[in-house]
Amino acid sequence: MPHIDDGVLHAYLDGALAALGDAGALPEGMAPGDVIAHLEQCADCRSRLELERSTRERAGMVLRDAGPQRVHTPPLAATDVQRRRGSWLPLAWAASLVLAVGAGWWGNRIGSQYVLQEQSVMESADLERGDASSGSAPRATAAPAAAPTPDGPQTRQNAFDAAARSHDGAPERRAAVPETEIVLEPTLADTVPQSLAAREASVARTQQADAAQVATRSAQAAAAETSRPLAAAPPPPAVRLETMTSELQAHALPYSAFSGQAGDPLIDAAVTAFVARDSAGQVFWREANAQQQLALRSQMFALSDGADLGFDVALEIGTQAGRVRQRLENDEHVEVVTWEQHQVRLDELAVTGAASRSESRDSTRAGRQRGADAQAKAAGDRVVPLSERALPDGRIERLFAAGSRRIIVRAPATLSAEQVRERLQSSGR
Amino acid sequence: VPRPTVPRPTVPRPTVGMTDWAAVYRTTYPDLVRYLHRKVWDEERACDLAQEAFARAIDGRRSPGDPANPRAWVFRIAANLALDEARLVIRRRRHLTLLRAEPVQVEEPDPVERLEREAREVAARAALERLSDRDREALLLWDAGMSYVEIAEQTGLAVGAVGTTLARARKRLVDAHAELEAKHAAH
Repeated sequence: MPHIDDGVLHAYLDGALAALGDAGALPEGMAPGDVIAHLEQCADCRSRLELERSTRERAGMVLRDAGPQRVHTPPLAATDVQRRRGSWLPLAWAASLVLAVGAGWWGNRIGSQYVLQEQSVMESADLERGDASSGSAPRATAAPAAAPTPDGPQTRQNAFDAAARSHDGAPERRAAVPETEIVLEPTLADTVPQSLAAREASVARTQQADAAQVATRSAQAAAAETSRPLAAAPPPPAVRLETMTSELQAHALPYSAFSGQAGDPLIDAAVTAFVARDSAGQVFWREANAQQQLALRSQMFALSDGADLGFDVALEIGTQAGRVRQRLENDEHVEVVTWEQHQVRLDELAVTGAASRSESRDSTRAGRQRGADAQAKAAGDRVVPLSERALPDGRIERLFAAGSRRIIVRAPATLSAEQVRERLQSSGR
Repeated sequence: VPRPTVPRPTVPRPTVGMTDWAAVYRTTYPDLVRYLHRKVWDEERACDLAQEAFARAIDGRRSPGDPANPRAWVFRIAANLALDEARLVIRRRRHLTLLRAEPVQVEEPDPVERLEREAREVAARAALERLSDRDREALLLWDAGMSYVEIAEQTGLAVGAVGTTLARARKRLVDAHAELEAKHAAH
């Protein structure tokens, strides 16, 4: 028997002999057992094996030096994609369902966010055909990276329309596997197979534990910050002010502007709903009537005694932000941005089917209760200054923390940090 | 009267929506960040790219159908993203869309320790960059936990060639690293 080459030795060290055997890639029709038997008998190959083992270990050490030592895994907000029979046709129906169920929840939070994920099932042949038509092998197969991303309102609208047309225009495929679904994310027990329910519950528990841990850390950080003067405040523990500001400026779209991208709103007796697709292709569902807008406003931080000039909200998966524009007594203008990481949990909402109206009302009440709980919890948060910087227009931009929320206040320099903090705290949210 | 046997219509096996992306995410994300970090040499960008890769993988509209191997699928997307610098703007735009987490407060290491670590990283990076693209890719994929079959699928190598490629890549990496260390010591 010939000696074993380096590639097979490394496959042995990597535990991949079986894979090579399955692929028929071992030399001269050898089986993995033959390789091992040869290594036991051949001193020369054993010696080379030890040499390769050493090389392999040293290479591993170099690679360890090359990478980040520790990687923090942030919680995943979008966790589950659910398959379901149906078509795009029930968009309006699903949206109205979502509308009914989400109204309470939405109305009691700053912009709780709903993501409707719709996903079409295509037969594998269709997939292959699509891949083949898009170009060369591995890159084309990984179409997501190469696919054009909708950009701009018109493109977004086109993408939205195209999504609907792709189902309307393929009746024969719909008859076979037209499984399009619109899932209010995330979903849980009533929509997943029983075999998955336990696992999902476990995921939910893990995420809840993570959220609790984050909340505890935030509380500890806030408590520690309370005793320090502003000048000595360390860098913000959670979010860099510059990053946060620029991102908010980019994302804090006026409510009306965002809804304008969605096309015709769906009108219900109680609320107005908008289905929108943002620049990243995510589908959002939003609704608001005058009463709910007031509720949204009431949950944002603001300076007490400041006159409201308007407010905006911006929602992203995992993040929500609201901006209140105010005028102070001396006619100075102030912006207060409330930013909060929003932990969407698996058990937060589960609406994927045709619930009855009573069920929807029940869910709405549950959503309201959750919102009320969250509000009650937030009300006890102390506002703590974190950092500040001067803006080019002479105002001071300050970052505060209130529990898990972060608040940016852009105010004239005549207002001290303590004055701002007190007015935030007493704004009577 | 025996009932005639009526063949049941073929029901397509579910191929979409059954992936436990939460589990895939938990088990894959750190490896993916390390893999990307060794491609872009920027930890924050590696995190961005990893998140973007998951965003695209989970997005059903862009990836029609659950992949047979979600982990490999995410890595493939990530590899393409790392190559595609022109997507930077889009990536930034989407960063906020999918994931947002409270950054972890990392304890600052001892300055001396930090300098040493940085020096090791520079040397490792230089050694890695001496490898051919294919060797480096195979090595990084292996280090990220991919199997020989997965590496073969992603790189276009034959399964039987993966071991040889890894053997060569490891040897060159070690040699290059040793050479760089020797040069550094000589200075």
